Amino acid sequence: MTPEPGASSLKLAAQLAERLNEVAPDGFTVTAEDIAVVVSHNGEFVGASEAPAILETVEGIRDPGEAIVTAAAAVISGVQDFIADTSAEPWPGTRDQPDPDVRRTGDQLEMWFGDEDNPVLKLRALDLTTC
Amino acid sequence: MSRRRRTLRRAAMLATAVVVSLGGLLVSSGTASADPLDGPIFWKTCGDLSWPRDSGVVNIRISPAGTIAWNAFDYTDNFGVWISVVMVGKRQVDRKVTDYNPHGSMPKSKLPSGQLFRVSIDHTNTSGKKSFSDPGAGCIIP
Repeated sequence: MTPEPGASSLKLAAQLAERLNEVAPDGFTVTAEDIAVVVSHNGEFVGASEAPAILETVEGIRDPGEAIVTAAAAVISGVQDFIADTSAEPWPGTRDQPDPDVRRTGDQLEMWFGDEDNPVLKLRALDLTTC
Repeated sequence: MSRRRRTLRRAAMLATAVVVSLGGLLVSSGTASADPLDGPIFWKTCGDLSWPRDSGVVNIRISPAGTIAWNAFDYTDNFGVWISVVMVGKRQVDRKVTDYNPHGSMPKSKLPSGQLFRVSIDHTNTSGKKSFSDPGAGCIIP
């Protein structure tokens, strides 16, 4: 299913933040502020991915399904960098920084870090009908 | 979070909201999607490239595996608020706000050959001084 044009950048930011906050390491919080997914460490701002705004671009309005995939990939990659930059350690996991990736299957958006078959960390899937 | 940092970040987010609203206006008024970078810029193929300006530099490098990595530095003050936008062709593929100098990467699978990879940076340093990256900071994906 293709999300309706006008899929909300606000809802996407909120749902991604919720899922990333569930797995964020101690001391880090991930919240949504408008279109931004904001990472804080011990209450201090670290960084914000505003990639959900991609849904509001001309190309995003033309192809919202592709825009959601692009935006989600950028958000999880950005949050990963913010956490690793701040902690000075790879995240998630303890070895090399695993690659973030996303895949859309029907109404579901799967998101993970590492190999798809054996991910280091998998986020709770996102239901695209609610974005 | 310090009040100054919070104020700077709020200002950055407000600027984003304005840009997003403007984007909507352009769409609803039927304006053609003219891209200022359609102009006479000579784009190189991605390799090990830098775009220095008076106050800082944008770097883009491509790995043997085809991953493109980018970063930006201010020569004197890497704090403040950085707004980074990454485009592949005419598609925006990333946008983030950081209070330290930004970096990012994109795997080969998301980089169609022949398209233009561009990074655009807007930096407001801790003294409130604004600087912008070279609009030519971009390269053709091999």
